[in-house]
Amino acid sequence: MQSWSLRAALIVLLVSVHILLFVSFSATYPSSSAPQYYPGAEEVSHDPDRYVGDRVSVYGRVVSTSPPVIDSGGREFGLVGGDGVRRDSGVGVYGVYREDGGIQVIDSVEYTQGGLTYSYAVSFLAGLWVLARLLRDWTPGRKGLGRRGDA
Amino acid sequence: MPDLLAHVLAAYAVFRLAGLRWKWITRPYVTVGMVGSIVPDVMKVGILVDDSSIENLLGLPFSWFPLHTAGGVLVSCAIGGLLVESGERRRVFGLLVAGAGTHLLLDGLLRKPTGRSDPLLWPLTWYRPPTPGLYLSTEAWPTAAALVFAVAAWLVWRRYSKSDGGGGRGVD
Repeated sequence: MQSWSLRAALIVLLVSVHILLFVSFSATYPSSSAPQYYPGAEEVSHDPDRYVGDRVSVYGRVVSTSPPVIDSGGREFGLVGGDGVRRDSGVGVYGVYREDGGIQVIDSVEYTQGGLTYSYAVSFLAGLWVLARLLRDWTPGRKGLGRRGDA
Repeated sequence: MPDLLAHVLAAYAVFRLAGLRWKWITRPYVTVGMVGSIVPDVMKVGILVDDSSIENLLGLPFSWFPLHTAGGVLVSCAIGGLLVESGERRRVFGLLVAGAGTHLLLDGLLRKPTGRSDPLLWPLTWYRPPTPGLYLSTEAWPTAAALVFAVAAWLVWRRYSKSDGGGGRGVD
């Protein structure tokens, strides 16, 4: 398949498939009653009474440490048993939703601000490294990208 | 795995070593494998334009997450395959998929509060496999481990590709 017009048509088709995936993933996302799926901040906030005593999974940013409170898209949840988190860290919490609007923590993960900055910085470097290799090893031609040569 | 550098280093090591078994996997193809290891993280475009902004714009449910699943990866890699010369297409597509596979595999080991990974095999299944929770995406040690793996792979490749009379030259 050499023709660029055919290739362009296929690329447009594949991008359309991507868009279909973006929409269908969100439209068919399992409800929190499905195995391995738990209500998140948005669901819990819409109908808090319904989820009292249920297991929930919420991601947010630490806005207070004593007592620990996270903000998830403008909704705040106090953490019971979530001591030790650092302010401004990102936190993922799995726990039981309480009547007082807090979460009894079963397990949590913390993404510190320093860790996030590190992650973005080295990821940027990785992108540059791969781009440099790509430019060195592959070259654009009339028939598409071709190898420059082997080593 | 963790950050993109760890993914790229791991892919470099895997494809450099694969080149000892399959001689056609030379430097340009190792690079393709490394590009593949970045493909699932195209999802990070969501940091710039979040799902809800697109939902409001389109009036439809929307998520970037499929870019980080088996289905989305296959579509992305097929687009990549169409960008190269026809004689390279199968190899490039295969290496992009394999590189993206290393990424999904390593991400399946990330620590999650629920003990379950993401639905990485979607649209085949919504199943979230249990994760051993070996590391966080913000930790540096997995990158250090991947660097050691990459350097070791380079040394092995250099040693054995020389003895084969092929490759093994240059800095790579």
